Amino acid sequence: MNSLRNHEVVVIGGGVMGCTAAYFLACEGRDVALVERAAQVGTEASGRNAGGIRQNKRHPAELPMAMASVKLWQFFRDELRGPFEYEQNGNIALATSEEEVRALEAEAVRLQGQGLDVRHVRGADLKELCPNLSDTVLAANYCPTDGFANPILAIRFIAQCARERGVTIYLETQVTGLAMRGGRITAVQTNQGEVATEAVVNTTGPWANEIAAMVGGRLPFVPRPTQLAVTLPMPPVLRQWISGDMVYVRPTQAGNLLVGGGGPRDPMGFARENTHSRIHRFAVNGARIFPPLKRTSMVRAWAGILAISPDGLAIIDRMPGVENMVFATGCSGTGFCTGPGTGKTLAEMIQGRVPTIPIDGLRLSRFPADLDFEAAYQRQSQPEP
Amino acid sequence: MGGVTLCRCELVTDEDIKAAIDRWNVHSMNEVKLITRAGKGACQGRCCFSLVRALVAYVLGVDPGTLLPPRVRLPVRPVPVVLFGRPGTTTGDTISMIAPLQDSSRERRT
Repeated sequence: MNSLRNHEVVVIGGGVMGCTAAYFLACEGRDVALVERAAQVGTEASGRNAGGIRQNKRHPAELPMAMASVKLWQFFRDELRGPFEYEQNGNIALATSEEEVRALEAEAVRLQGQGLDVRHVRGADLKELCPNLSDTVLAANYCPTDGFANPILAIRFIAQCARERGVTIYLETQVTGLAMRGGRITAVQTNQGEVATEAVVNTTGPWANEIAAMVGGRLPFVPRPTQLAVTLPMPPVLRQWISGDMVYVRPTQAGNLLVGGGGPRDPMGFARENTHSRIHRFAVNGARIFPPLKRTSMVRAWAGILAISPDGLAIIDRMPGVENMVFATGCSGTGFCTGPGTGKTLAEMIQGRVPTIPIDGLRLSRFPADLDFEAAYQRQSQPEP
Repeated sequence: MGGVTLCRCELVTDEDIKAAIDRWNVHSMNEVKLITRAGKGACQGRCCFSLVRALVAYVLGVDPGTLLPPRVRLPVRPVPVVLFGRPGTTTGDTISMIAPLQDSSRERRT
């Protein structure tokens, strides 16, 4: 255990965004502390997700962030030689109704217009691309540069890069308060002691409001659990990440199939539990789009907590009323993929520069200041029947 | 890769585990499972747990008794996907009654 000392910048939260922000700040010569309350980095959503790295199906406002993040994931893999199983095997978003086919066609045109290589495929082309898809799949949008990585190794690798660049990582260190003077944070208080600092980054995901509350703020998102399950390994049946019919399926390097998928109306909360109804949906809908699932067994299921924003897009901005604090949260299930771009953006904001990745559509100001999103979310959410 | 196979489901050797502890700064059995895949296979660690724990304790220089077992995940034993596809096979909806006992934020190194 390191004993605490003062640092120029304190990053709160050791997930993919926090570790990346710390890395890029250290690359610019800043003296950075990364504060993580668990005994390791990446123990929450950053280490519990399915590792998807996807530009396909992205909203126009977040596509630049996804595209920039793919470049950064490639940088971590190719330039820094990160052994985190990052494979660009492609992402297939599929349609099982004529209505979905028309939506995908329009979306392919829109994504291509934004500069993404995405192809609308059907028939024999689709069969050749992904031979084991169900015949009920009518068409798909295929993005060949998309893929997936092993999130557990990825987050540790980025943390290691940050450490090598001089970042001090304080584990088992929980932030308890923020000392303010004249609209600026002067110190971060923790259960291990106090760190005087010049700037603070809040990358605590679904816990971001615990930190925001310490400066009298509240950000518009809700915490919501999501579930995943994995099968026993089987002979190769799938190369790409496929999604449709409210589920996704992707292979692991060990040969398992990972199945997951949340719902927009899932109840909010912090309960990391698995439910029979959700695993039942993985089994039924998963086998509907990808029949080989029927030949194997589920071996593990787990859950993690997402931060859901009102429009399902990340919120990246300066903390209102605080001169020297930036935050990112509300990624709504895409935070692993966009983590590197978001971390780099936060680092640039701390350095007082205009972010190189456009985040105009991801600012806090797009929401009304008096929005009570939690109440609105609770009204429309409901458990599965 | 050489070494003696400890986890027969995932074909993980003692060399793999020593290398992972060295490469990734590992301090717990849960991390060994997450990184090496030892205990992630069909038996979910029932066969290899004692062997792996003995090795990890030896490498870390700690008493094996101080190492918590990795998190237990539902469904504990492999369950055919088609069985999960049948409706009404459990009485209540929440099935993870074991996992909350080992919350990661409460995980401690020693």
